[in-house]
Amino acid sequence: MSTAAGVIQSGAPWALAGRLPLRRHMPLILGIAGFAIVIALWEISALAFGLSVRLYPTPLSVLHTFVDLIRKGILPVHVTDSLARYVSGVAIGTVVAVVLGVLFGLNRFVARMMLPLVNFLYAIVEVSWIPLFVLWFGYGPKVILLALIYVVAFPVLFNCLTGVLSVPQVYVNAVRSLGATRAQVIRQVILPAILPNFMTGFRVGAGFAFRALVFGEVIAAQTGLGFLIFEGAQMQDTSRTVVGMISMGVLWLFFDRVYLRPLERATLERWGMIAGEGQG
Amino acid sequence: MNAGVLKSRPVLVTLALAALVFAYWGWSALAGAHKLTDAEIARAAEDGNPGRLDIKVVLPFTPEQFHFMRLQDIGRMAGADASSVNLRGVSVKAARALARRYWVSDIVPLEPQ
Amino acid sequence: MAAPASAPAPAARMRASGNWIALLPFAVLVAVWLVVPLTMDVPFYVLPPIGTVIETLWDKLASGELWSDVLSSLGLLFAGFVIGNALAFPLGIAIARSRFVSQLVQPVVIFMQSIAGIAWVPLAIIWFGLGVGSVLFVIVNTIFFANLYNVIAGVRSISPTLFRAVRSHGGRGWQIYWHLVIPGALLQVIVGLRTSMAYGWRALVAGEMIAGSSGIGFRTMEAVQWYKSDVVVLGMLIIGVLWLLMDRILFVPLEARTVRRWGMIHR
Repeated sequence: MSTAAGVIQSGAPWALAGRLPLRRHMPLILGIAGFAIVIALWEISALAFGLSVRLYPTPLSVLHTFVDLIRKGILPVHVTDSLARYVSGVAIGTVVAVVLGVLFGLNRFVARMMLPLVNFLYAIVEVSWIPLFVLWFGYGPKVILLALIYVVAFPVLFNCLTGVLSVPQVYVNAVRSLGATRAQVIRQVILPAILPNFMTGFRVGAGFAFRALVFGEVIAAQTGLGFLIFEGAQMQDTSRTVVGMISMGVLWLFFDRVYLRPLERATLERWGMIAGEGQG
Repeated sequence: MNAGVLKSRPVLVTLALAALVFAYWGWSALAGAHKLTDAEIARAAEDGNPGRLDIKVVLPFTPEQFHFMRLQDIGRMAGADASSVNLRGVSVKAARALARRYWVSDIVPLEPQ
Repeated sequence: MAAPASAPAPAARMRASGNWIALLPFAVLVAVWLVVPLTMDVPFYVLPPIGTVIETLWDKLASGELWSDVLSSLGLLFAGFVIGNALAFPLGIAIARSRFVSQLVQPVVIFMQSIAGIAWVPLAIIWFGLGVGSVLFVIVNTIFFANLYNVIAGVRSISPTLFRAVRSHGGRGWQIYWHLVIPGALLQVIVGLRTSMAYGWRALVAGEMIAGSSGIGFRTMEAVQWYKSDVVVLGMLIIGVLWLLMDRILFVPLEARTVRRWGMIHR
């Protein structure tokens, strides 16, 4: 192994940090350093390519545009529009999917019958429905909302159905034999059993939906982060595009860390099952 | 689920955001009333139609397509320069809402040319 | 539903009739599709008659256009897969093997991952123009980030015992990487292939729709301009069939084999 790698692997940076009261904060320091290095490399690459700043933005131009867009009230509007679309699309899609999932799931026969169809419709990737929606409804926010609902509904529905089918019939029979009504069967047996599946489907759906949102806005919207990203390219002002992209990243990380992950953790902790991490 | 839920991250963050949003609404309402006073509204009224105003929207920057589109939604554009846009036939409600926007410096009655 | 004649045991008959049942929703859909254009005055752009779609399919097969589009799309997917993984392996291995690199790079990677894929399309168009270059860039981008975590998890899951075993057999430096680390990462990539390719496939289709000049996604989006709903519906069906084929023929068997053989927990 080369000496540099050898030095790093021997733990020298930590030994050094140990001498200063920095050891505890190493992860944070390194994390910030990582960003700093990437930004520096970015700046260097911009200088190396020598393209106009309108075609290849520099960190400074992006920062400047960021401030500018806030000053002009443009960025907040795009962010809130995107957020509103995303939240409503995900909410409606989830409700529709859960209702359908429980409905289908009540009867194993029905569930087994519908599963291949759901699977096939799921295979027709959500993004490929957008041309059809545009054909039907023209360009506009309706199409995006519809696409989002579709994108979220299918993973959730599919996972709910498979979850319902995986509930051992024995449990349902046992509860029924104790005199449970249909509603009680749903509440006590089915819903808890499919919760982990639901969470997986929800996480997948939320992730796909975010990308579908941007895709939809690039194609069919006049506001929103996707539109901002596209407008920047159209106006040949790529700093705008990068501001849109960074806002996207921040928005997703916010949503994921503040809402999605705690929700998943709470659900799975309660039912004590091993969680799947990553893309789900 | 117990009271611990209330202290959880999603709930706390949502409450904080809600507080910020309310604070912004409050501030913008006050600022809006300051930018477009009732006296100015009276002066800006169109002849014969007190419900519609002719106003000059003053901006701290050069307006771009984004702003033109929004302004055209609420009134007829009657000219613009590097830092303002003239609008005719704006309803009082829309004018007040516009005044609340933080990116609008000021709204003054449009002086007849 | 009648069971096939050669199914004596009740359990087998139940399962067989279960398979027939699954066709019922499809049959209903096809029936509706057949009947509606005939009985109701539905404009072409809303629902193309099934006959027209089949005609279009036939035309495109005959003219070879279908094959060239499908091959173009699949080819890009494959190229993106290879390049994306080629980039993901070195970085992923470095992150997994060194805590320093991991703490340095991961925050940035986590952030970049949240904007992977579609968000890069407009930039790609400016840099590479419409066409293969942009779409490839987007696919590589998506697959790189999708597989990075697979590589990292794969390397991290190699037990220290194996490392010691290789060393005790005289393995040094690059041999450890070649015989142990890379296969370990590769294994996890295969296990997670279905998920990562789900993202890759979506990136391909979406990328072609916005920035492509060939391929299935491009054709489908192009047809919207000419209100050719038969091409649009055909495109959608082909996209669905292609994914199902890839899934059934490639991903599911791979997943079953690796998980079964090596007993790994699927993420």
